[in-house]
Amino acid sequence: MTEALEFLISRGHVFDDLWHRRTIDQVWLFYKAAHENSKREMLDSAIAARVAFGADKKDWQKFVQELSPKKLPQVLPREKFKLLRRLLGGK
Amino acid sequence: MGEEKSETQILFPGIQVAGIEVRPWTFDQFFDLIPIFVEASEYFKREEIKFEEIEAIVKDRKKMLSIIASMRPAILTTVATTIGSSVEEVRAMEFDKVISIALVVLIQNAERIKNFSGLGKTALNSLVTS
Repeated sequence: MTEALEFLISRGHVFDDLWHRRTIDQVWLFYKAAHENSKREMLDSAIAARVAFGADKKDWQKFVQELSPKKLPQVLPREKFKLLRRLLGGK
Repeated sequence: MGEEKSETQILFPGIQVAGIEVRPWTFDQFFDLIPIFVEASEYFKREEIKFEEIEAIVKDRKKMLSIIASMRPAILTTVATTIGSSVEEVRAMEFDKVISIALVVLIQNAERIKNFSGLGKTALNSLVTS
């Protein structure tokens, strides 16, 4: 039980929640799921390491690009927005 | 009672009984109730009642009433701990309501109660003697 709780806490669960709010079955279900996720993460890391060592420059860049988060459109601060409008000829 | 629960049943375990949500025990509630389990298992042993026979006993009204009468304080404490009320509040509830909740508690936590054997008693004894 201690091992299960420690493992769940190490993955972001909160002790108070696990002890006082979640049913015992829910804690075991989360523990099983956390184990599966942990195994999958290890597999992902292993694949990435294998690719890093084996791939050529082009394939490696493609792999990194695939995994990198897409850039989100930036919201301009009010000051910069005003400056930009002035520069572009607006008021 | 021994059926495997589905993921949905585990994630959304609440059952409404007469307007009160009854959920299976948390670890906290389970450990709070260990003295009740010890008391109940001693009573069951004395009366030669096996947990496996509980479904048949529930249908035997006379036997059931005798168990309820003998185990009343334990039932009140168990229901109060499970629904997060005080024993006084549960005592003030209608008898039928308390018994309905107690039966749902028994069904929801059957596996836990059944598995409560020497392990719980040993833990309790070590707490008492330390």
